[in-house]
Amino acid sequence: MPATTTIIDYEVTYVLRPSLEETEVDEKANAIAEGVKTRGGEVVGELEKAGKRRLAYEIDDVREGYYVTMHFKSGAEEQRELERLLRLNESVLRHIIIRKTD
Amino acid sequence: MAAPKGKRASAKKDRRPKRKVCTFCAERLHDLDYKDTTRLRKYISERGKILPRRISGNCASHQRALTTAVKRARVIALLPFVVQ
Repeated sequence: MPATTTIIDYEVTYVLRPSLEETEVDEKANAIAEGVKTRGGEVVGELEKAGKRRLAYEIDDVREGYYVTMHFKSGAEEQRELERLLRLNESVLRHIIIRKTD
Repeated sequence: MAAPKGKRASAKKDRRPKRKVCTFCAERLHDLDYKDTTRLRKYISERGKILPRRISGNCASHQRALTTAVKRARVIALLPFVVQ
């Protein structure tokens, strides 16, 4: 039987450094979305940019960050790859990938 | 909800707080968004702790959904783990 990958709905939210310019934020966010697409994931809908928000606690001596949310569909493998990329990305302070239920 | 002050001692026996209705059930809301901090903030204490069902009056299933939402929000610094 050929290996079939189950496609799962995911939602990812990450926080980018406040020192970035608005244009850089767009660039980084698009790059991340592109990363998902090139690996076979499908980005659903628009990127939701919540803009600069205050952090509830200090991270790396900063107290604010740009919040970006993206919805995508992919297999578990692509999700793990995105997780890895987000960890390596220096501009990303925090990220969370959740499996959507509905 | 609080009993009048004078009655306090005598009211001890029949002090049954009014049954609270789960706010999420009342709104027919199923999924809780971890990014919706204005809503979630109503269910955490000043210290940042999640309020127990006893206080919030939520039903069990919504309370469970609420805890996961708060915990997710904490991970991405939308809500604090502790205050002070």
